[in-house]
Formats: sequence, C-alpha cells, structure tokens
Amino acid sequence: MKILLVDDSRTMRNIWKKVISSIDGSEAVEAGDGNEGLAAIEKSGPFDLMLIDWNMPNMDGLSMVKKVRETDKSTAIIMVTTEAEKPRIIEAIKAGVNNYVVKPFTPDTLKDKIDETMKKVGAAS
Amino acid sequence: MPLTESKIYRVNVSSDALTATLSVNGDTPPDGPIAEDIIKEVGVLGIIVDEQGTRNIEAYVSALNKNQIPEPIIIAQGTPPTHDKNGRIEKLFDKVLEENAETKALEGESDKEAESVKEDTSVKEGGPEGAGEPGEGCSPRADVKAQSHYERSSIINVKKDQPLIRIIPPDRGTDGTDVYGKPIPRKLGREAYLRLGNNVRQEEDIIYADTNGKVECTIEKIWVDEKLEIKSNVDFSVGNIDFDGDIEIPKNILDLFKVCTRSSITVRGVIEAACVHADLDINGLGGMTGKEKGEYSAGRDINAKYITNAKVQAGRNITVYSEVVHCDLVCNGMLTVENGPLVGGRSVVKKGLKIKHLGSEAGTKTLVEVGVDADLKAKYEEVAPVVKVKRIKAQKVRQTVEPLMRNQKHLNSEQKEKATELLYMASELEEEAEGLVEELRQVYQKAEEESVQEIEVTGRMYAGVTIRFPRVEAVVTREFKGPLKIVPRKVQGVLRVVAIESENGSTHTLDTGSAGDDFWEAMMELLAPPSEPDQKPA
Repeated sequence: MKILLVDDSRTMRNIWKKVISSIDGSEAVEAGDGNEGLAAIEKSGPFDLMLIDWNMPNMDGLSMVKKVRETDKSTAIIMVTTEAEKPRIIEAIKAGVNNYVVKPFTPDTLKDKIDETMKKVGAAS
Repeated sequence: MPLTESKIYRVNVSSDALTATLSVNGDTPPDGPIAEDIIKEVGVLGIIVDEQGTRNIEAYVSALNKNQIPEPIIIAQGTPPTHDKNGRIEKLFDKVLEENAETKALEGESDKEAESVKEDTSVKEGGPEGAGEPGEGCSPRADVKAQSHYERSSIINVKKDQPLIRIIPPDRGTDGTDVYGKPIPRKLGREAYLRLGNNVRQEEDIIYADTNGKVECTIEKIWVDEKLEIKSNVDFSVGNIDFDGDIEIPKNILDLFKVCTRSSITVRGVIEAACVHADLDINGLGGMTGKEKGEYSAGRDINAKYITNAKVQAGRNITVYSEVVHCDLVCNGMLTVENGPLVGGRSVVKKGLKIKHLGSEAGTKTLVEVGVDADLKAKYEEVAPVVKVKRIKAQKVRQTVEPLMRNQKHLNSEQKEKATELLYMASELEEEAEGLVEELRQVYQKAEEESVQEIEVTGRMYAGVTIRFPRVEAVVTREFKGPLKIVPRKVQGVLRVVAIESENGSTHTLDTGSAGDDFWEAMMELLAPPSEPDQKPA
C-alpha cells in the first residue's frame, strides 16, 4: 500500500511511518506541506492513502484536500490534526476527507482508523 | 697482453676485455705519431673508441709531441654485465618463527618452572617468575600481553584460501659489452621453488592454504596440517595454543596455559589448572585437575577420567568415569558420573543427572540443579533489568501525558502534538519491553521442551546434598541407598521432590521448599501477560 504522509513536523511523520510499518507491503512518501504533497502526488502518485495534517505552512491540509479532490475522488484521505471542534471536522469531511484523527492520539488509534478507512473505501469501490 | 706493438706505442686490452689502454714503447718520446694514426690503428684492431677515448688519445699525442712520456691512458671501456638476482620466496603468513629460537632457549627450564606451579597452587595470576603474564582471566582466546612467554607459540594458524607464499621470480639483469662492442652475457638467476605438501595449492606465483590448519614451511617444502599433534606437554616449549583443527596432546597441559580450538581436543595426560576451550569436544583421558583455576569449556561434549576443582561448561553432555569433586559445572545436556561420586560445588544440568554416588559420607555441601537451562538463566539476567527499565520509563511517560489527555480541550496545538509524541514514546518502550519478554518466552519454551528433571543414583545419596529442580528444592538430610530416582512430583497437589527406590517403587518425599533463589518466581512474573499499560508494574 502506497501512503502519502503530509505534515510539517518530521517527528509526527516518523510516528506515522512507524505505525504504518506494521502494514504489509506499505510504502511511505513524505511531504512537509500541502504544496510538497501535491508535488509528491504528481511525481510519485497515485497513492492508496493520504495522511494529511491540517495546520501547515505554505499550503494547509484543507486546501490540499480540496485540490486533490478536484481530480481524485477515490484515494482514501485521513486528516490527522489538532483541530477538534465539530464545525472544523464537518468542514474537512465536506472537503472530501474519509476519516479524521484528532491529536493527541495513540499509535493504536491511528492504526485502527487506517484499517477502518481502508475497509470503508474498499467496500465503497 | 699487448694487441699491437709499433715502435712507438702499444695497446693493451684487459683480460675481461672491458678496458683498452695505450702506452709508449721505450723510454724516449717518439717522433711524429699523430692521433689519427693511432685511432686508425686501434680501429683496425676492432676496438671501439668513443669520444672520451678520442680525447684521451689526442691528449696523449699532444704530450708526446712535447717530448713528454705520458702515463698509459684508457682509450676504450666496455660495460660490465649486471647479473640476474636469484628468485626467492616471500612468506605471507605471520612471521613468528623467528621468536621460536628464543622460546626454545627456555625449553630446558620450562618443566622445572611448571613443576613449581604444580607444587604451589596459590601461585599468583602472573605465573612463574620471569615467565610473563599468562593473560587476563581464562576465557578462551582472551587477549594477552605480547611479551608473555605463555604466548610464544610455535604454531602458525592459517585459514583456508589464505595466501601463504609469494614466489618471486629472478630479477633480470643486463648483458655487458666489451671494448670490441661484443656482448658479455649476464649470469642467469635461478627460479625459486618450494615443493607443495598436503593441503596447499599454487596459483600463478602464490601458494594458498587448502584448509584451515597449522602451516609448516621448511627450506624446500610447505604444507598445512589439519590436526595439531603436540609431542609432549603443553608447556613453555609449546606456548598457548589457538588452533582451528583437532588437537592431540600425549601428555599434560600444565598450569596456566591456554589451549583453544574450533574443533576438538584430546589430552592423554592430565589437564591441570589451565584454560581449555573446544568448539566441539574435550576428551580429558588422564583427568582434569583444576586446582581452583582450571576452566574447561566445550561447545559439545566433555569426556573425562575425573574432574576436580574446576569451572566446567559443556554445550551438550559431560561424561566422567570416576568422580566430579568441588566443581562449578554447567551442562546443557546430561551429566553422567559412571563409577564415582559427585561431591561439593554446584552443578547445573539441563537434561538429567546419572550418577553413582551423590554427596559424601562427610555431608559435604553439594548443590545440584537439574532440569535447569543455563541459557534460560543467562537470558533472564540479560533481559529482566532492561525490561524493567523500559517499563518504568513507559509508565513515567504515561503519567506525564495523563493530565494532558484529561484536559484535551484546553490544550493548544503544540501541546497536542507533544502529547501525541509522548503517547508514541510510551508505546515504543512497551513494545520494546514486550519484544524482549517474547525472546525470553521462546528460550523458556525451548528449555521446558528439552529439559529432563530427573536424577538417577545407582549407589548412594548422602545428607548435605541440595537438589534443586525448577521451582522446588530439597535438602537431603539422611543417607539413601540406590538405585533410586529423584524427581519433582505433585504430592497431594503440592510440588515436592521425591526419591523413588527403583527396586521396590517406595517413594520418599523429601523436605521440599521453593527453589532457593527467586529466579523462577521472578521469571514467571516477567513472562506473565502484560497488564493494562497504565497498571504496569514499576
């Protein structure tokens, strides 16, 4: 499974990488903001899953999701963010994210969310 | 010898034809010779006169014209040949042979020195005075100081395919030329040659070892011995031995020497207070007298006539003909003492103990741990402290993050990120700890499958013996007559150590308590399934 990790925090990306390393055949590509994320899609895409932070410099996660969804409706996207307010969550879902993980989270929580999302997306397709 | 002799001058050529000289005939200056005439005449003789020779002749004639009688001069010189240098061999293995001469000088004294150690078992670690240090500790292949006489070994180990010798071809010289311009041939060099013995091969100019072993090289032959046969004792004439193949020693290994091999060792004499290690077997046909300093370890079996006062470790079985006395013994197979007692010391045996007498009439304290895997204990000791530290750290991290998790609504983004990192760190630490516990669990399961918790006594078992099985132990308080078997068994639902008489099946329950150390309890606690992360034991 090819996964795009977009977060301006290297530490957070490392945590994500460690979590997804338990998924058989997973391959991670990293990006530091929305612009880099879009560039990575162009260069290394398509991806099976994208984990995207909300608050990032240059281009934030929500803007990136909107851009992605202009052309790609099927790739699973999970927003992993500190934005926990309900209106923000609704906004993200409207933009096209499939699931939402609020920081702080445990590695197990993230793993469960990934499994759940991939099942949903798999069932939908 | 003059080649030409006019009335005026003569030309001499040296016997090696490398020098032609011109001199005047008679003792008065001649009239009229000119340089061209002389050069012409010399030319007729076939002598090649170069520019310097021509200048010399002109100077000579000029002197004659001034009515002087000059000294003879050189008018032509040849070039002597440069002869070939003979081919030679270059040794590419360790050059320790030179040291042997020095070691041999000690040979006469070595027996005397070793004898003095034998008499005085309290000899210091440094060994006999003047002998140098035998090496720190007694572990196999421990580094030793280079100047130690113990280390002056005459054995040169080589590995398979190791280059041993380079055959260097003769250095080619050049032919010379005489005064007539004729070549003077150089002497040709002899090719170097070394006869190939066993276990060596030559490829182009290099001779290689075909096997691991001891290299021997004389002036005319080279070979590699797979087996090392010592002629007498292992003493200062031999030095410490570190060898890849089998070693056979017809006599003794003296105190404080080290013998180590990647294969097996057979000693027909006595192994004294030495350090002996074999990756495979040790056969101590003359017995092993450790004098509280001897250390004997084998990757597989140890077979001995007897073993006393030594530290012994075997990867598989230990079989002793007569007795094992006051030893610290670890056996990962079965320990058999066929005809005598196991007395004193501590013996840890994994796959059962078969013995004639256990303990002594004098009530000598003797501890036997049977069905106990030394590897399991070692693994536990390696893993337990690390697991403990990781679990404590994980718990501390969780304690730090807990208030943050309770007040998530009041955290800013940075605090939320930090909390995620801390949660991750705690998970990592717990995962690492659990990984180590899993490693221990696997060693434990293997030990459970392989261990044999049984002692068979054919003669007598005496008071003073402590028998320890996993989880339980009993002290023998009276004498038992064999043949009998001692095993752990549940009696009325409680695990006990029982002695069963083989002849009539009578069972004696020994006074049993939990195993004297807390190893089993602590290990089982460690192997228990992990509790909820927040309730992990400190």
